[in-house]
Amino acid sequence: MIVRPRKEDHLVIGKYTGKVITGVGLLMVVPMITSIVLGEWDTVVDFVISIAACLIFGFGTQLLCRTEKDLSWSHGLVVASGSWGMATVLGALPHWLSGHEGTYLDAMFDVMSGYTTTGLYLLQDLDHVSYGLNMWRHLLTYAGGQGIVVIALTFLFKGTAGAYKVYVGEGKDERLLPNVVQTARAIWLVSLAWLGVGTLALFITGMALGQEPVRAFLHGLWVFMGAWSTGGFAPQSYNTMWYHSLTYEVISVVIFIAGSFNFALHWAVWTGKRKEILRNVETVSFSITLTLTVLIATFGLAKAGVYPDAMTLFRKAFYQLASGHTTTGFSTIYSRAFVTQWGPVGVMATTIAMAIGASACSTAGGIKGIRMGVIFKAFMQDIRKAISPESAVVRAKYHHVHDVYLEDGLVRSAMTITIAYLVLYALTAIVGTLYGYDFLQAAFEGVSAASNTGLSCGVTSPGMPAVMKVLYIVAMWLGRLEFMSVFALAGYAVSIVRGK
Amino acid sequence: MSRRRGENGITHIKRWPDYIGGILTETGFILGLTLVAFLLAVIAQVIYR
Repeated sequence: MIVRPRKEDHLVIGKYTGKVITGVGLLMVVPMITSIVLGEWDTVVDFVISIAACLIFGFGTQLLCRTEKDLSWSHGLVVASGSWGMATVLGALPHWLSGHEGTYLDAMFDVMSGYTTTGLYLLQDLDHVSYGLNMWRHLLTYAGGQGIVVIALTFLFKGTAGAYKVYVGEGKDERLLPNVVQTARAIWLVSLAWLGVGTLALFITGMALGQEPVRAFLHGLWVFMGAWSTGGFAPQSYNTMWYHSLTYEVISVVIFIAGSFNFALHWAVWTGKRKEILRNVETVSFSITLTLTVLIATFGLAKAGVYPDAMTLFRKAFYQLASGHTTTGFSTIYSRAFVTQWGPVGVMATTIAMAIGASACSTAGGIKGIRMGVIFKAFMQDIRKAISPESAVVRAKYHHVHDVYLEDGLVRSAMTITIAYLVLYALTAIVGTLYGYDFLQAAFEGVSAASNTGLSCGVTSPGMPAVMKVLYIVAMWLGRLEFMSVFALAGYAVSIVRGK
Repeated sequence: MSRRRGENGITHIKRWPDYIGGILTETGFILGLTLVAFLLAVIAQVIYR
């Protein structure tokens, strides 16, 4: 029997959703200040309207939904996914008001792409977007990478037990420190320290490339945000190819691979467990699958004679594969080059890399290295069981900060989410094919959206069918929140209508 | 009391050498992966030249 939610359930969900949306409104102050400093008055008005909308909704909801009740697990899931949905609707206002989006749906597509750190976009004439809107695009993806709920946890929530449930609902379930709010702050510490180092390195490189200081700083900051969040947004339509710089490429690779590491791994390495980076199941899994996919693409491209020398081959193959595998979406080749130059082998290797993705509890998407590791270990355990004497006890373990023994429940959970991702990948590929795109291209683009990568082979464009835009928005949302939160929100909606 | 809390805080100055060591360890690991990819490109180019 489906139980209809009570008034108290609506109140607690409304209250916490209101808090998160208030946080989104406050976040918009940063791009508004950017526009004020740089004298972009039209953009300032866009942000004043958008901030007002967020604060009216956020504070209004908190006022209407006053309750002392704390969140339950199901509430946490619904708040996480509901907040992301509402933040997308209201966060799209600056995009739409800028006049750079064809429709409000396109604006929502770009905002969901930003929050989910995907990087696909429908915004038109990117090279002439205001500094304020560019700041908002990159801030979205940086904030989305940490999790907009983590932001709210850090600044707006008191240290309630319920806060942890929203945090889990956003697809992060590691406790770096005993308290969830401290964990959120530790995540911010890691991100902000890397922000300082990464932005400085890119700023110096930009200056050396001839950019004037303000532009070099803003580009450095934005490219850092796009890289660290594995988001893939960049301030120019040519993405990171625009810089034509090996140094810029190497720095961005270091940032986006570091951004794709599990925050628990960062914290372990940062607190003295240096060897963890060589032992952790996720870094081991990532190193193996990245090297294999780079190997396939590199040999395929070398055989086809696409690039003239080893250095160019390395720069193009490694950058796109590392970007795809970490689900970043930065690119140093034209979108159509995947189809016209790389051919089926290159497209397939990149699609596999994107589908696997990087680490859990990071800014990355995809199936995740830990699940690949768990499934592989379970597979090997079954083989060992099959060839061992019947009385033998075969146990497998993996290392993630500490040794963890494989339990059936753990393997089932890894398999369930992996199958959910595979179904989503297949669905996006089939729908794309039904709309007339080549299957391999539809699969590439669909996997890119659902794994929150953002590499494009040219399918994503303002002229794309509206159904595919909606499908990609849902795929990005599902992929980022790892299904359960969005399913919980759908279940909540059903229980309102059909519950007793 | 507040002094003790400060020293145990995650942003305390005494923790930063460890944090910088962490950033350098991560960077070294990533550059190692990059070097492997470069070697693969050299081998591939030699084989298919």
